[in-house]
This record gives sequence, C-alpha cells and structure tokens, in this order.
Amino acid sequence: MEVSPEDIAALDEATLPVYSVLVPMYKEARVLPLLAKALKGLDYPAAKLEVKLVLEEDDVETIDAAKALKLPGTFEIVRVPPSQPKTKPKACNYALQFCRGEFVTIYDAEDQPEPDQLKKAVLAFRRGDPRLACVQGRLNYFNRSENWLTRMFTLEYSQWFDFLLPGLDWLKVPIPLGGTSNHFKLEALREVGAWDPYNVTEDADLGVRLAQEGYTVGVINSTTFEEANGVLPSWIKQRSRWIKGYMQTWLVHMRHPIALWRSIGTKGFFAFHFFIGAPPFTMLLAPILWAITLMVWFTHSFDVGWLFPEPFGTMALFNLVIGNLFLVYFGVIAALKRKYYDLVPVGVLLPFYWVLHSIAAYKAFKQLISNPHYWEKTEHGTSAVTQKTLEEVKRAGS
Amino acid sequence: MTTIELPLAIKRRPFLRTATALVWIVALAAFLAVAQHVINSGFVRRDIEALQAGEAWRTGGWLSQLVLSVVGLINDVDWQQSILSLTAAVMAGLAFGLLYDRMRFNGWTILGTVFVLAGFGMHAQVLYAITAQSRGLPLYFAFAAIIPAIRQMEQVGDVQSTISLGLLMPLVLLAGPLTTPLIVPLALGAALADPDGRRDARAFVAMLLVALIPTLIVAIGVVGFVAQSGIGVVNVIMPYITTYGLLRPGDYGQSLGVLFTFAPVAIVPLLYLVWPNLPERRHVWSAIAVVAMPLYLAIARVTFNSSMQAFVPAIALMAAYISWLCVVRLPFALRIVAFAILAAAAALSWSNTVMWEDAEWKTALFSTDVLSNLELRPGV
Repeated sequence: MEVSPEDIAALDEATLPVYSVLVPMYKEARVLPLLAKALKGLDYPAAKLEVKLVLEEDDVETIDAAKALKLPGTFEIVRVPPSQPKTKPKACNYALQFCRGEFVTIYDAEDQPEPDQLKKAVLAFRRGDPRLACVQGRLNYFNRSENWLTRMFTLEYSQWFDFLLPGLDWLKVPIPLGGTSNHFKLEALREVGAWDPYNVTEDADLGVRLAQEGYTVGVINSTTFEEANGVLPSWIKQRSRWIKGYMQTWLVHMRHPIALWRSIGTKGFFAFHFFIGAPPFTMLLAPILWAITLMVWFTHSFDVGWLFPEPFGTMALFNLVIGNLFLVYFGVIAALKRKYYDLVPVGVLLPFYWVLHSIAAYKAFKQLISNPHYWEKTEHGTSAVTQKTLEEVKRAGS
Repeated sequence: MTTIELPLAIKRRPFLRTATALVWIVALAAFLAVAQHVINSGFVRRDIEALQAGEAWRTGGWLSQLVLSVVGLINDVDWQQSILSLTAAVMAGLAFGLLYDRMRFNGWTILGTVFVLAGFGMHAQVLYAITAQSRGLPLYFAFAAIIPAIRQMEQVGDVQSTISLGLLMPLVLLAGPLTTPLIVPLALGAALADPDGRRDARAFVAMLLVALIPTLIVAIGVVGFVAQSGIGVVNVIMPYITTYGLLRPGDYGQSLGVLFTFAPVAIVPLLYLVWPNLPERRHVWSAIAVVAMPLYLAIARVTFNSSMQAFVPAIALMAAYISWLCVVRLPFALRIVAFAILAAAAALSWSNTVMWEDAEWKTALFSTDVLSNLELRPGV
C-alpha cells in the first residue's frame, strides 16, 4: 500500500482520528530518552495522539526514569499489575482497555518510526477495504554497519519486510505480523480478542487470527528503524524466542486444521504452512541435510542414493544450488533497493547466517518442550549507535 | 462534517488482454500451420538433421540443447519434427502476442501494429527460424528481451532497472558461447547507468554484483546439472574452448553484407539518434544496442571458431529492432520509414538468393502437394 508525500500533504489534520500508541517496556530506563525523542517527532496533531508507556508495576527504575523526563501531556504511564504470564502481549492487553483511539499501534522501546507513519496508516485505512484491520509498517535497522551480525540481520529484515510481506499482502494470505509498528483498528483488535498472552510471537499469531475472522492486513511504505541485535548470545536468545513462537503458532492453529482451512481458505492454509510452519521445520532439518551432503561430497564413502531416487535427486540438487543462491540474491537485492550498498558484497555470506538460525531453532525446540511460555527478553541499547544517539539526546536536553 | 478527496487507487492492468491473446493464438496457429505444411511437404527440419548428424548440435546454446536433448529421446522423426515445430510456434506466438501488446501500449495503432508484425513474420529468415531451424530462438529472445531492459535503465535509471537487466542476462549466457562476452559490457553498463554507481565505488560494486549474480547462479546451475546427469563438466567448458581457442578470421564483408542486406532496419535506430524533434527524450544506448549487439555477432562469428550461420545476426537484429519499436516513441514520419524499411527487409529476404538460400525449404513451403497428402489421410 503506497502512500505518497503528496497524499500526506493533502491530508486535512482536522479530520484525523485519535491515535493510541502503546510502548510496552521492561527495565529499559536507559533508552527512554531515545524513545521520547522519536515519539515526540511523530507528525500527528498532539491533541489527537495518546502515547501509553506500558510499564510493569515492579519496574520502579523505568517508571522513575519516565517521570524524570517530564514528558508532554500526550504521554501517559500505564502500570501493569503483577500477574502471570509476564509477557509483552499480556501487558498490551491490559493497556488496551485505556485506549480511546480509533487506531492503535505498538512500538518497542528503541524504535524510531518515520515521522509520517501514523498519517500513512490513517490514509491506508481510509483507502483500504472495510475489512482491513491492520497495516504493518516496514522494519529496518539503524545500526546495520556495526558488525557482521547486524549486517546479516539488516539483510534479512530488508528481505522480509520489503519483499516478502508486501508479497503476502498482494497474495491476500495471512501475514505474520512483525513485533512492532503494526497499526490496528482498535475495534477489530478488540473483536478478535487482542493478543495471546501465552504466545511468544503474539504478533504472528494475531495475523493468523485476523485472517480467520475475515479481516485483511496490509503493508505500508513507511519504515521504523530499530536496533539490530549485534551480540551473538543475545541474538540466539531473541531468535530462539521467535522460532519458538512460530512453532507455538503453528501448533495452536493446527489443533483444528479443518476449521483453520475453512476459515482462511486453501490459499491461506498453504501460506500458513509455508511461512509459519515450514521455516522452523526447515531450520531444524537443514543441518542434517548439510551434514549428509558434506559427508557424501568429501568422503565418497557414504551412499545415500537410495534416499534421492531420480527425479528427486535432481530436485534436491536444484534446491540446494539454485534455491539457496536465489535466496542469497533476494537478500542482496533487498539491500540494494534500500541503497545499502555496503551490504551487497557481504550478502553472499548469508548461508553462514542461516547456520545460526538452525542453532537457535534447536534451542527453541528444546524450550518449546521444557519451558514453552518463557519470554527470552531482548536487551536493547547495547549498540554503539544507540549509545551515541543517547548521549546526543542527553546533551541536547541539558 | 468535512469530506476529503482521496486519491484514486491505481487500476491494475489485466494480465492478458483479449486482443493480445487473440494475436498470440492467431500467430501460433499460423506458424504451426506453416511448420506443419513444410513438414507434410517432405522437408526435414534442419534441427533434426543436426541431431541425427552426431554431436554438432552441442554448440553451448544451453536452452536449445536442452530442448533437442529431450526431443532426441523420442525415436520417431515425425514426432520429433512436430514437437520442435510446436515448441517454436508456441514461443513465437507468445512473442508476437507480447509485441502486439507492447506496441499498442506505446501508441501504435492497431493497423500499424498488425502491419509491422506481419512484415516481421513474413521475413523469410524469421519464418525459417520458426519453421525450419529453431536453434537460434533463445538468442533472438535474449536480444529482444535485453533492449527494453536497457531502455528502462535509460528512462528510469533506478535500482529496479539494474535488477531487471541482471535477471535477463542469463538469457545471453544460455544463448551460446558467442553471446556470452556481451555480459561484460552489459553488466558494466548496468553499474554505470545508476548515478550512485558513477559516484560511489561501493555502489558500483553493488550494482555490478546484482547485475552478474543471476548469470552466475544459472552458470553454476548448468555445471551442477551437467555433473548430475553424468555428462561431465568438461562438456560445459568445451564449446567455449572450441569457440575462443582458435582465432579464425573470415570474410567480414560477406558477414556484414548479409547482416545489413537482410536487416536494413538498422538504419532506423541510427536515424533516431539524429532525428530532430523527437516526441520523447532521446535514449541513445538502447538504440545503439539494437545495432551494436548483432553487429558484434556478425563480426564475432567470422573471428572466432563458430558454427553460427550468416543469417543469424540478421534475425537477431530484426528481433532487437522489433523489440525496440515496442518501447520507443517515434514521430509519425519515422514510423512510416520504420515500416517501409521493414517491408523492404522482408522483400529482400525472399528475393536475394545469392546471400542466403535453402531451396528445399522454399520448395516445401510453396508446395501444393499437401492437399494430396491430406487426401491420403483417413477421414479427409
């Protein structure tokens, strides 16, 4: 869904609806000034904007830091009473009862949305189908050049949000929403029961549930810049949570496969398996297949020909060579489209990044059995770029 | 309550318009009828002859080799001929449908479009390429596809243009060893076409990579599948060694003579370069490419050790020319010239038998024996 600057300029601000912004945070006091700066920069009439900092009641440090910032009247602190499960969707569900906007969106603590994102979302909703319940902003990273991991992460996000999600939008199939910058019609969100507090990728799950209720999801041409996780152990934790969430989502909806198929249609049903069920499965399976391939190529002593009778042998070879190389290519062109020229040459290293996915997938699989609802918290504010911006914000403030 | 005016949503073009489909079907039926008529009149397609003559058809034109390999699995010559004719007719029919669509989109009238396509289809060597010897089709399609991509780079010049050209370049690789070197200037051109590519070394490298990666992927794929099928990787390299391992300077005058006699249409893009008051901004590179790429072929085929026939660069030029007509906006006078020269090219292609002739094919084409053949068939 393309919204041009001319469309934004033509908007009459008097007609804009009240917009609620939820920012769930937990022990993230140090990035608060950044968040405040980004949200204060949103191009939306202050009288029609309500920003709710959703903080856990026991997170005294963040609550005090928020108070100390002396934020404008559009900001409000919502204290979430202690209860289980202690997850982001649970906190958001709690805060939802205080929202009075026609639309509501979610941002993470370190998010830097493009200033006109809310207006673009409003226009997208106005132009869209009446059943359009959610528009997803594109996510990308502001610290992409920090290290190899942030570069790979940026390539992946550019591919996911700039190519794959608009493709799913075009196909009109369930879209696994991203964690932030998803803008909802509040009424529709309430109707579907908001987020599943037990699901650790509540966003992906919500995308499927919206489709089940006959709602549609679109993708808008506005980007929110986030902090890429550039610390390997932290990246593994975050990724394992996402993969575990996809596994959960697939399992939850597949409890009643026929009902699911009836509710989202044949096309949606296949898309659900391809884009939510298959990724964790392939990540688990890939190392086994890599090991077999390497063993056959290097030792010549291991005959697996019976596993791949023709034409399956040729098809497997096609997938391995052409399929993987084209995946690399799509990553590279996603970077090029964003004019991230420095990421293009390193894009050829994407297969090594996929190895990390498989490591995270095995961690996720173990945790799915042993601790399914545990929320692996992502630590924000570790990036040198974030630190530098924080210092600038503090200096400007003082 | 205030009402606001919202911009209209962009209407999506239908995937296949009725007229386009009609042109495709008519072209397919016409080519298939001619091809079948030629076969029924006793002509054996030159592709089949090459297939029966040994390994000569393994020229490194991977797409045509693939088709011939599959056809070679069938023992019956009649079936082989029919399958090749059908494949060529379907591809040519599709191309004609697409050309019709693009020309109409670019402001040509129905009559003008039909005349141009008819002129193109009645060119002797074009008809020969579809009904008698179709091994060159991938090359013609490659040239026809590359021209709009170059034009898009000139006209829009964005990253997507580089990506589009890069995605089409494997066609140049698959067309044969002689076209493969064209990948280098095309990729460099793609990288330099973007303003960032000219200013920033990183952008240049990025653009170059994006232009080349699809071709590299396809090249790796070809090697992989040849290895998998047990043919041996050396057979992938051999056509290139054979072609470029030996310089064999030949008769350049004759090669260029054939090119410009059968494809005098080269004059139109050259006229476009100097024509005053064009109804569009002059895009020189695509116009130059229409002439330069076939010109390179005509020179290369007599410089290197190639089995490419003399008329192939001429058809490549015709294909590139028609494709260019689909994307360029010409003033009316130049359109008239464009069609007149195309008609002249078609006439020359039939009348000039000194430079090119396949008497057997022509005899079969103009034979009326087919009627007696039909009478022999049960039910007729």
